[in-house]
Amino acid sequence: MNNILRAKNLGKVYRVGKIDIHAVRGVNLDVEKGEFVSIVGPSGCGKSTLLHLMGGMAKPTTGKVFIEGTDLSMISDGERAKIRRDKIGFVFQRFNLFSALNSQQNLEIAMQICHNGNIDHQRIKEIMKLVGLENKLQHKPLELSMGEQQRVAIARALVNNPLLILADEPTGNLDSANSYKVLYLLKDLNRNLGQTIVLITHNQEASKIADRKIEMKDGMIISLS
Amino acid sequence: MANLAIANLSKRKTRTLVSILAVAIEITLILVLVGLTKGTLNDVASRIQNIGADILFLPPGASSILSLNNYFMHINLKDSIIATEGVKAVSPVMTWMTNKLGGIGGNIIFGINPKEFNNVGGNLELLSGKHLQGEYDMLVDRRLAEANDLRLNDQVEVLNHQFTVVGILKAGVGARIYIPLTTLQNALNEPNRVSLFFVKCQSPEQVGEVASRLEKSFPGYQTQLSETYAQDLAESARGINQFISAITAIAILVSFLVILLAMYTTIIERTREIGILKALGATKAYIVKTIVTEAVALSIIGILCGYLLSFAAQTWMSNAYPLITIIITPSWIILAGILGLVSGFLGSLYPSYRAATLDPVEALNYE
Repeated sequence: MNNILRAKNLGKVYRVGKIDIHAVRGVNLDVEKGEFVSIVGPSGCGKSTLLHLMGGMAKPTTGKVFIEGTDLSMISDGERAKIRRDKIGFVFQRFNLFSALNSQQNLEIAMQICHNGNIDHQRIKEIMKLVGLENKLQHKPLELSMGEQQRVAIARALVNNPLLILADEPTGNLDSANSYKVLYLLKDLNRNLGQTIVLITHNQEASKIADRKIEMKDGMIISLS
Repeated sequence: MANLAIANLSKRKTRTLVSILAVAIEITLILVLVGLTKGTLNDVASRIQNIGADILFLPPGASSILSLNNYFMHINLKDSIIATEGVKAVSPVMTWMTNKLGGIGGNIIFGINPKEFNNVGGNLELLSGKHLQGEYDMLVDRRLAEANDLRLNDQVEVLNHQFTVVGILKAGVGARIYIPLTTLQNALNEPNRVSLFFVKCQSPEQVGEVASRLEKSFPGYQTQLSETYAQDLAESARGINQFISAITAIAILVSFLVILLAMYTTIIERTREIGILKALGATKAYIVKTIVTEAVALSIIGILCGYLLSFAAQTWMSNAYPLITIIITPSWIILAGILGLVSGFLGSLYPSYRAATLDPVEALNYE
């Protein structure tokens, strides 16, 4: 099966006080294996909410999300957690590394969660080499530059060999030089390893790195290219 | 998981130290309090048993705790007791509690006739000096002498009389202070009265029978077997055991609350980290395990510190108060450790449940 992710009539409504906020409305989307898709739109247009829905982090108000044919709305929280650890790697704008742990330990945690406590140190070294940080295994996040922190976060997302990487504004906290490095790292992963990636960004320039661009506004997809 | 728990403990040093201290104090409180009580009761019991008598003959209504007794018997009972089949020797003793010369609540004085006391087996072993001869002679044991810096021929005022220390005894037999029986009777204005009789049987096999005979011959009077004195004393001190239970429960509760608060605070502080764990696919069980592991690690360090603190307190108290005996037994060390672990575990349950049920997106967006 080439279709990895399918969103069908996806909607999410948040209630703030007495007001309903329609963060995502009627989104239909397919991502094929090996694709690099960017979802672009202004802040507050519902991109991150869409990513959380696609990653099984939030439950949709309407519609369904399928990961390799599994309907996320029909499975338990525990099974959704299993899908996240086995099939999805997240990359966040704020890196979200464990500040008390060094790079190696940050990757170990992801591996332990996925493999019942087992750690493949060789794999960790290989992935850190892949992101160009093989000499920073023992560095804690605060001992790394912002760009390096994001590359560790990408390494963590990759370490369990996920089906899909969901990257939420991965360059949002980076200067242009580091943004460039991170984007081209993602591009290389897609091109060389066939890694499927969905990139969320508000930056039109950054979105161009993807093979396919989806534009969002007011919670809806307004164009597919 | 262990890495994360250890890293978090070392990152939040103040919280970690306060939590460890709380558990350590819980352990110390339990061990020292229990050790002090057990030590005192054991010390009293072993000293009575070391006299060598087989039976304590007590007046009606008397307590096994000799220092609490206000009941006296006529000394003439001695003749009837010794006439009982199977009795070899009898020693009348008058007891009195003095608040002089330190000790917990004071020291018990035995008024004895040295010869009769020796006949029931209570060979008082002199380390220096001589036995009781004069009316105002006094014998003290080594621990009491050391605690009060008493030497031979020193004067001690008790019951408005000046006594001369004529001998220092080996510690651990009967009371810490001995004076002549008649002197104590006269000082208390209770001539011909005694507090108890120590009874020596003709053979050890007969002790139970002799005790039954005595109780039959002297209705209402009590016999106490020397062999089971420790156990009976512990039962008489039921109030003390309840007090220990209450203090132990409070110590556990305080430790539980400190761990609960510490872990709850850490959950609030680390809400985003929990969100990350959820994004990585951690199950609720994994998150509960992570929090509980941290709490248990805190408790284990606290328990070990508590053990050290307890032994330090034992050493310090033994030096500062030589008459105090603290016994820290292996069984209580294990029990206190288990209680410390249980309170730490229970204290982490609610915070870990809260962490496990956090919404992943809200947790990730937590500032």
